[in-house]
Amino acid sequence: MNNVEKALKRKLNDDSEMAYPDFDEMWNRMEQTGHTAPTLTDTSDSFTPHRHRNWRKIAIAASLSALLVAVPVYAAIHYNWGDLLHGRSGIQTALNQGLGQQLEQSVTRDGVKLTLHTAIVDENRTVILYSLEVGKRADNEFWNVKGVSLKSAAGESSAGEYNFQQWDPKNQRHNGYFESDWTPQQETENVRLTVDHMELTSVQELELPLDITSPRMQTFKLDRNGLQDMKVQVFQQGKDKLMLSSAITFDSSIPKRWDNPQIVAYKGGEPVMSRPGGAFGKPGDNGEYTAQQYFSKADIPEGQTAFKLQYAQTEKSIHEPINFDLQLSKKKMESGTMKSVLNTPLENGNPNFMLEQMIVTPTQIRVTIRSEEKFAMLPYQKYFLSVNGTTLAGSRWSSSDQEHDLNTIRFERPSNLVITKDTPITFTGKYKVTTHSDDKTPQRLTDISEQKQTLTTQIGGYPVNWTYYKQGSDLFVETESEDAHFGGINQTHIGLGKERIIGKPITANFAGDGNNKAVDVYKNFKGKEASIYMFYYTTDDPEAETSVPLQPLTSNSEASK
Amino acid sequence: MESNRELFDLYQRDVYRTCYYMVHNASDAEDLTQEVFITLFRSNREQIEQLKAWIMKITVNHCLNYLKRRKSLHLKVSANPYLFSGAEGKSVDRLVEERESAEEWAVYMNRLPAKIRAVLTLRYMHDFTLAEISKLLEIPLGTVKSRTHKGLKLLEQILRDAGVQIPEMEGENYEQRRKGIEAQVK
Repeated sequence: MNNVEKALKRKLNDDSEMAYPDFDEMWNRMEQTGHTAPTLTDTSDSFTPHRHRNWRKIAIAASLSALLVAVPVYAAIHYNWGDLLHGRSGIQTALNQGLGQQLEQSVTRDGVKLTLHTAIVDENRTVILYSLEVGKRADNEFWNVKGVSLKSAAGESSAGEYNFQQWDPKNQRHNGYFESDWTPQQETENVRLTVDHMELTSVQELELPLDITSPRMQTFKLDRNGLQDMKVQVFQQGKDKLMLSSAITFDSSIPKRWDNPQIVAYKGGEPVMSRPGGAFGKPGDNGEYTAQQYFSKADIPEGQTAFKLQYAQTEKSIHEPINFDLQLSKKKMESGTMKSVLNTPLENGNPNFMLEQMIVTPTQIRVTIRSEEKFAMLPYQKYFLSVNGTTLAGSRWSSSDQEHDLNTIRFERPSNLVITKDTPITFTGKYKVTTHSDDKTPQRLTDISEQKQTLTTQIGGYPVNWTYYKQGSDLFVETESEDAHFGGINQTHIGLGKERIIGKPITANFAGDGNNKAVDVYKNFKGKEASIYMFYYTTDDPEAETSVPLQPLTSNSEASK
Repeated sequence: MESNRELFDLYQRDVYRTCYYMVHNASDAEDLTQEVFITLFRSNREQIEQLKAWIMKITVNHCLNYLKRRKSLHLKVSANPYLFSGAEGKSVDRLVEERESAEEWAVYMNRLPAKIRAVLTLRYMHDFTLAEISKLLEIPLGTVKSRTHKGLKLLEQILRDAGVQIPEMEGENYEQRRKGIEAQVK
């Protein structure tokens, strides 16, 4: 045993240095909430709502995760988002086949009634459909359930929990679903579904007198709900797009009562859809909430467009956790479920990405891809499954926190699609993106000034324009290519070794988004000249594709079930 | 079988200390401890043979789940390390000469990946064997070994970077002492 082990062992067991909490008080808390009663093979009693709960809120860092969730749920007022199960058609398929498990359990808190209706449980996921009846509400008000989790008796809960809901004007209630990657280990399992709290939010808007023709940084005072001010800078993206890069500073001493801030544009009073590719919630240097949003220039003509900052404001929370004890079963699904081990490379002769497994259930088909390296980017942007002539489009899901080398492609299963072991299935990847990190030639930026200057270089055979200029004390470097096959430069740095300064990208630079313009800023840049390098660039080949037959089974794959 | 209160009195410190080194935050560790005991009280433990192993399994799972949830924000950050340059390493500069308290060791532990932290905690706080840890965390024995090995190496590096003198300790061979304890128990 070496010294590190000894030191570690001594430290971890040294009671004298440990500041223990007041365990008696903890016991009292648990006793008051009825958790210490001798138990129990029957858990149904914990169902009864305890009236005088002195709940110290169990700290679940849900608020943190909310930061990066940029799903504009609130846009539901303005746009028609289609049916609740849009994008989850496999759930509808299962419901149509009567494969759902009826739950019909309700709990009412402060006049808000939460009802779990149906569970759909299979080898891939668990989905629970619910509704919220909330009584009277204003048009800009929305109730939501927060911190929903599933926990099995052994204390295991799931990764990838997600809930989505929308207002159902016909029935005057919110309909929603909760989706989790958790599935029962055995055919049937007892689980507890916990809703940490329920929250009422309202959509708020503030006028933003934004000048989209100005390239300068524009600052707006907000002074509401702890939001202090907002800085917005407008960048040209190619010929017909604009990027709005924004940063909101907020007063962290005031409890956060806002969420999902974003810029919305109104043309003639009608909301304008922003272009896809926006990114929200990345913390800035000083903890700001930053966002990048894209608009088509044609959609927001100067003088006819009004800009507003829209955000959700928390009006009220019901902080009394709700527990439902459920017995979930995947039995009904079993006859339609198949698992096959694939072990086939995604691309012929390339062992870096291996198709690992296919799981077919009545609601979904999942194909997993394991990469040689962790956090590796899948080489293709779009994935399809051809099942006996029917083509399904897949969506990419990055792996759970546990397995950074695993990617899953999910295909929702439409109705009337029969799949047996003999059904021909082909997996196809399209739109290849390749990363190149071998070009370490610097570009020389000379005579750096407020004046925009452009130099054109060849990178990987593509012409790339480097435009650089100073605004105040900051140096901006924009890179862009007219050739759409150039995917963009991810990030730049000036100088090498210890002296190097790393540029801060203000564009989101997603790979494979058909946008190769990137902007880096160097704050407080001093000097007239610089040698600038890139970390890597990508090239896009929208036409490239790879096809892998998954069924009927070939010699190097085998069925496990 | 112990009553709930006996169970609580017997294991409160072990559970709390594990949570503390796993999440490095006193108030979260307290909440997690309470969660763990609520889970324990709710479970039927008549059939449980290895009580401590079972309790530690639930404790470590709770902590890992909690960290997983907390990490979802950081996941995108770590997937795009270039975007978040500059900040790393600064906390090391601030560390002072005397580095003896539990607080500081919790900081060092927290630089290790959570899964490695779990293995080291079970091994060196609770004296579980590699085989026991393998069963408890439901991971292969080889993985336990490699995580222990990697964890110790990383920790050594972390301590060295922080300028901590790794105390020279005389004598006792851990494996032997461990066997001695087992022999006494039997």
